[in-house]
Parts: sequence; structure tokens; C-alpha cells
Amino acid sequence: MSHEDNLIERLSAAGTRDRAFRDLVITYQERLYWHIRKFVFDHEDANDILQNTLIKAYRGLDGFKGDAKLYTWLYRIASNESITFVNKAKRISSGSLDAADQLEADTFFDGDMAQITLQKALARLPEKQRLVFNMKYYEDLSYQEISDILETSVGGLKASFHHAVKKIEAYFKNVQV
Amino acid sequence: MKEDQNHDRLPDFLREMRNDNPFVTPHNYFKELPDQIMSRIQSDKSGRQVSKWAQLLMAIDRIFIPKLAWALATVIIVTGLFYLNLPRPVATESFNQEFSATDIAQYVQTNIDDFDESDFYDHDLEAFDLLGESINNEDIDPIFHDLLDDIDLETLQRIL
Repeated sequence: MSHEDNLIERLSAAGTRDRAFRDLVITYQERLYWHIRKFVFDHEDANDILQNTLIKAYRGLDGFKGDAKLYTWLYRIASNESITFVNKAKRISSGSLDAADQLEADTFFDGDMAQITLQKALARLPEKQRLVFNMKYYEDLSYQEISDILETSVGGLKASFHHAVKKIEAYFKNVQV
Repeated sequence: MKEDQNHDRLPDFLREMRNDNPFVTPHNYFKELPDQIMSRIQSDKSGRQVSKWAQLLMAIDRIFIPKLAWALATVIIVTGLFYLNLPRPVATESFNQEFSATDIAQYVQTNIDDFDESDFYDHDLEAFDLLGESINNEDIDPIFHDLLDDIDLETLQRIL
């Protein structure tokens, strides 16, 4: 039995659920955190979204049928929570653009000018395109895995990634000029 | 292999930056996070239990309290109407049953100063038909004799 199957079995039984969920958090917290953090840029926001994601996952355990992989299911919740957060932030400010513009003063950011430029370029991408780019570029997920998470066709994802790369390239060229 | 081709097609600057992670986390963040999550889950559970009770109370409040209020109001109104429609004994009937004529006379004699004269005039006028046949010589004679007893000789001579 794989680690994931064992985890799913323990999560489904009331007596072992809490202990198993703690193991789930330990197993997936870093991957989920970086997935969220590279989308929203700010640590505090990423922390809030990650905690909400995991609480929602715990509440929804009874609804998890096991037909999807555990991490696919968790990534889907995290992606939806992140998009919801960014859309809410947009209503009161410029959302991700503000967060990316404040990176230079962020104590939890240690990148050079090229990294700041890249994050600013990413902040200007449409949310879904940014998610696809991040999952492919940073997390090296396959298109099939991204397709399972975002429930989008592989062809659409390839196009999204291609457009994202072109936009980032154009942004860098504009900044250098 | 096909997947890797995507990264091969990346512009050079993106390929070079790909493995750098400019973001950092607070010290011990991932070490402390599982405890924070489990503690939130526990408080979420107890909060949900409380809210289940709160929901039950709200349901009772929403469904039963208005019905109870209506039922109570209906009972009060019906009881009130029933009470108002009860046949009431006339005050004088019970009064006459409770006190004899002698009791009344004694009470009046003892508390004569508390009465207003007009009370007697009103009742006398209602009780006696001064112009009717109900007044006869037997009623007047004692009064006449009392007057004669009280009158002195000089006054009598002056009248005559």
C-alpha cells in the first residue's frame, strides 16, 4: 500500500482521522505553500490562504471520494482559494500588482532586480494563466497533472503557458528599454 | 522528454532564473504550521458544535416562540372575554344578604359625621313620594309630637 493510499484509509476512519490529517499537513504543506506563495507573493497572505485551504480540506474529507489523487484535490482547493483571494483583493486595491510592487520592501523576499522584474511581469498575467505558468515553470508539473487540477484541457494549458512566456518576455524587453 | 522541450523553448533568462527561489519564510514556519492547523481544526470543531446548538436554539426561537406568543395571547384574550361575560351578582343583593337593617342603622348612627347631608336628601327623595299617598298620618304624628315636645311656651303663643 502506498503512502497516499495509507493516508486516505486513515483519513476515512473517524478514530485515526486527526492523526492522519496531521501527517497530510506535514507531507503537503511545503508544496502547497510555495504554490500559493508564488501566486500571491506575500507571506502573510500565503499563510492565510494555506490555512484556509487545509481547514477546507479537513471539512471536505467526507466528500473526497479517492477518485482523484490527494495532492490533485489539495492543489485544486489551494488554487481556488488563491484565485478567490486575489479577486477579493482586487476589489479594494490593485491586488497582485500591489503585492508585486512591494516586494523590494518585503523582509521575506530575497531576490535581485531580475527576480523583482519577473514577479512584476507575473503579476500582470491573468490569474489562470499565471497559475498555469507557475505550475509548469516552478513546480514542473506535467500538463496532464495541471489539467487534472484546473479541470482544463491539455491543449488549452499549452496555449496558456505559451502566451504567458510571450508576455513575460515582452515585459522584460519593455523594462530594459 | 516532451515535457522538457517546453523548458528548452524558454527564453534564456527564464531558464537561468528557474531554479532560484527569491521568497523566504519566517524561521520554523513549516515546523510550527501543523500544530497551528490542528489547533484551528479543534477550535473549528468546537465552534461548529456550539453553532449547532445555536442553530437549534435559533430554530426553536424562529418556529416555536412566535407560535407560543400567539397561543399565549389567544389564551389571555379568550380568558378575558369569558371573564367579562360572566353573569355578575348585583351589588345590592349581596349587600342586603350580608347586613340587616339594624346593622345599617347602627353603622349610620355611629358614623353620622362622615356622611354628607346631600346623601340623605337624594335618598329621601328617591325613597319617599312626598306628594303621593304613601305618606299618611301615622308617619307624620311622631314627627309632630317631637316638635311639640321641643317647642317652648313662648314660641307656641307667638305661632298661635
